[in-house]
Amino acid sequence: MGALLTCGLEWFGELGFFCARLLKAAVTPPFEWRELLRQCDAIGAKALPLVALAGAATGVVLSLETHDSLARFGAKSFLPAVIVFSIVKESGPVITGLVVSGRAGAGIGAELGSMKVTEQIDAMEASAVDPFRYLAATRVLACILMLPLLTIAGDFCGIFMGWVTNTLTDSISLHKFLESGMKEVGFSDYIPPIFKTALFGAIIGVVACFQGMRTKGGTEGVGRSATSSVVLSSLFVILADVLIVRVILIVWPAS
Amino acid sequence: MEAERQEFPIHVTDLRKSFGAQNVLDGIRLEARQGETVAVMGRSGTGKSVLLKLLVGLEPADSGSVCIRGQEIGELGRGELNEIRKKIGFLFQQAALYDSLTIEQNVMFPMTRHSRTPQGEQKQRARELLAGLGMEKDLDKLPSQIFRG
Repeated sequence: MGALLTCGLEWFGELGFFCARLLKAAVTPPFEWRELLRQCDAIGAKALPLVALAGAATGVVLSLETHDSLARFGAKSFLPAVIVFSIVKESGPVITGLVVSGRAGAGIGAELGSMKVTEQIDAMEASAVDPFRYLAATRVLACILMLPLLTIAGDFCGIFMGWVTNTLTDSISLHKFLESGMKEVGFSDYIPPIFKTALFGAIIGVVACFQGMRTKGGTEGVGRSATSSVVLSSLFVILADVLIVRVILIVWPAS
Repeated sequence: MEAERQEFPIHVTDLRKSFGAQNVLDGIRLEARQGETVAVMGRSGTGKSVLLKLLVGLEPADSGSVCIRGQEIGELGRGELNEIRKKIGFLFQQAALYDSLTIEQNVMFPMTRHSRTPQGEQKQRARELLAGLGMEKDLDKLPSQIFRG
């Protein structure tokens, strides 16, 4: 138990030093714009189909599950609002965060882990290029920038497929569905959940880069880093969500 | 001592490094003059690579001194250390080419970051270097696509 505690404290301590160096690399020139764009494409554009699919599936399931329940209480007319609220406020951000932590977290952990064990990171440092700036800062920033955009795409797909599923049983135009669903939704309902995904992005990027850049032990170590990147980033995304929801409810009580 | 440091571009004294209980370097002394070729030989696991990593500051020494052109490596900040690293050519055991970059981009990588020459000239220089090795046909290949024999 004592050893586990020491190990945990050591991990958080090292993570703290890693974040400090990462922050310095991210905010001081020279900036690696080209690599940042490449990472935005790898983390954002390439994850879009998966996020869209996950969002669409959420919309379908929400519509199917809530339709009967609401019908039982004579509240079927609330279905659009239930779908929009559920997706925009919680399901969309969390599912996007978990999908990206699975896809990008594993990718970053494995790629940086592989670079570490094949001495590519040492080679970068030996040629006077800061790997924190070139490898880590670009990936973390790309995660921070891409998560909110992916969330918007996932939300759109979820709401659209929620409407499609609803239309199969009760025909309703998209315009009317959206009007009914968004009537009571204000900016304070949209903005905080979308921006909380930027924090999810930071968590996924930092944890995956940290686990990747401290890889030891050859190909087995690379596998361990990829797995631990996904497990830890997913866990921290869920924990952060609990805290952020509480903060949002305090800051925007009406929402 | 200071005169010796100035005389030898690479000057190492009483260098020690251990990993846990394993003592890898135990009081190494090394001096290399300008233009001199020095070969460090030894069985696998005797610390040759560790010594080279200590010379460019990739690993911190437990004790002792590493001086490159009169500058103590362990006392330098990241910026000063990088200025020294720019003047050192370092080839890793497994080549350590960047997987995501083509062969040409690998050769150009340090130039694009440290040189102010136009990109066209950098490209030309990289192509000249690769042509010298008979690799002009491999410019756009990734490291995984070329034979490493």
